[in-house]
Amino acid sequence: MSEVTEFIVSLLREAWGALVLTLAAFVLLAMLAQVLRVASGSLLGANLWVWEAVGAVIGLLVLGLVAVLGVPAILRAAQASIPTLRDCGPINELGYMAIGIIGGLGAVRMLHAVISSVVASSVGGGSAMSSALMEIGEVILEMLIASIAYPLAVRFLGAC
Amino acid sequence: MSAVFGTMVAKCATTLLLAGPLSVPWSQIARPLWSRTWRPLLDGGDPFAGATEEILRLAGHAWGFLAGLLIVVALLGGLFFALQGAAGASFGGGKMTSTAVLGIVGVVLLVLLAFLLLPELGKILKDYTPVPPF
Repeated sequence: MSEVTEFIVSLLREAWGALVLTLAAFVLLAMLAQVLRVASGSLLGANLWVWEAVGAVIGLLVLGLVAVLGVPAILRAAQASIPTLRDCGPINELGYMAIGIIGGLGAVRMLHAVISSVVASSVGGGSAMSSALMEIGEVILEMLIASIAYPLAVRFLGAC
Repeated sequence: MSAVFGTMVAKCATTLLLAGPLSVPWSQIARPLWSRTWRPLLDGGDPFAGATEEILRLAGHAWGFLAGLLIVVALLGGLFFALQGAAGASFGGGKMTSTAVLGIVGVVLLVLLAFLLLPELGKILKDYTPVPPF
């Protein structure tokens, strides 16, 4: 059981690394595309284009920083909120495995949300940042629910 | 006679339809899928390395394309502003000339921003790649 969990967690770690590199590539490409839009807009005299593109560049930078700096910190805090119960037998071991997988899935899901938002923002999607933040909020809520449900389930099953 | 001809046409069509999919080199599809994704997974390697390589390769090509496009737009824009400045200077339009000069400066700053700042930002994002927090 623990080997299967280790395998799943290591797969999620590899996925995390791949997604971070992909995110960095997409952020840079999207920023270059928006700079091109600024140049074109300023040449044509289209002020609204220029300001939209400048706003998009700032939004992309914020999304990139949220993904690289914010998501790991949020995830560590959310994982720390899930309590570890001592001397509860095999339930404790199952709990540790579940925490690892929940954390991994949550991290990959948050990063996927940010990547989708970066891609949407690069083509002018207005609600890109809000949808990424909503998805991150959903993941945090699910982890908090798990942190409440796990000790209740352990006590219900009479393991502690 | 027409029935025989029709049967011959039907048989040829059936043969071609069946031979079409069989002629697809399935090994050329299945082998990379196995060697680049599932084999590393079973050997304990990185199953996403192949996909990441391809994505980064395509992103590199896209970067080159966008950078070239930006250079073309900036050069054309600089030429346009130079023309505007020359026209303004020729009939004494001070505002037109100063707008053109500011435009050229703006285009140059924009290109410098794109070609100096963005690669540095990429290096920062790459260097500060976070370790998996789980």
